[in-house]
Amino acid sequence: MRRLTDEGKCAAALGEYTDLLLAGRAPSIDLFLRANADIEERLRPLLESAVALLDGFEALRRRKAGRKSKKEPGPR
Amino acid sequence: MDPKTIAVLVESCRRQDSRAQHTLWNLVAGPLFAWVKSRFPRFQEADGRAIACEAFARALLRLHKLESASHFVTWLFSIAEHIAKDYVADEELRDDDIALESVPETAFRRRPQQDDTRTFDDHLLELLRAAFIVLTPDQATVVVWRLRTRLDRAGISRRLGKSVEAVDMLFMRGMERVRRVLRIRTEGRDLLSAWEEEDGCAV
Repeated sequence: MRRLTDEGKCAAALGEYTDLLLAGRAPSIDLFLRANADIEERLRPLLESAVALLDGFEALRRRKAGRKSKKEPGPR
Repeated sequence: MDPKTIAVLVESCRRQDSRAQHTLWNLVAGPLFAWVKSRFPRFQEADGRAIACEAFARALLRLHKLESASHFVTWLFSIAEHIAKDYVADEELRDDDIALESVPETAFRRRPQQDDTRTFDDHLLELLRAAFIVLTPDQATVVVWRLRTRLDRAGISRRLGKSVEAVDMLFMRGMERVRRVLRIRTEGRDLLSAWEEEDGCAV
């Protein structure tokens, strides 16, 4: 089996964590990093950024949904 | 829908029997449309019908990939679900002016200034605009699709025609650049000149 480089491991771990975040099943960053201790230094800031951006997009989505429902009540 | 009838019709469709295709469509169209409507209640009626039609057409084109004719209906519904999810993602991308709107103040790691009248959305927009200057088009696409449209890795991989590993790599490199933009903004430096100083070359 092909061995992943640190960069490949980091990319795969970030992808996996983001999928968990999107599915609402993500563990805490600290817990997730326990399983990826060898790449923690590079991975942690990326996970934190993904969480922050996703929170931002979520807030934006909720705000827009609120604005839309005020404008056009009922299903489309 | 009688499973045996469906299976017989599917086998006939595999032999390019156009009458069987027509009959099969008549049998599955109603339940398929009803299912799309219940699963995605936001869709307008015409969109739901278009998704049902497209799912059926794709299923016919890929019939050679279906191993057992008796699984046709389940398979058809899963194709419809994929199309509908892609449609939702496309709609979100079309729907706004953003592509790039803001990130919370916590992400900037700085307190808002008293005379700063920008809204939360203004900040997110500003940050992403900045990030998009330094992201490649593929990185930008993957970052926005991942975080904004909530497409998973497999969905993006399908849509871009790239492997999941390639999508992961684009996402990671894109996020590294976003992270760097955040840091430069936090330090209050001009993005382009800071980037150039750090890399020794222009963006």
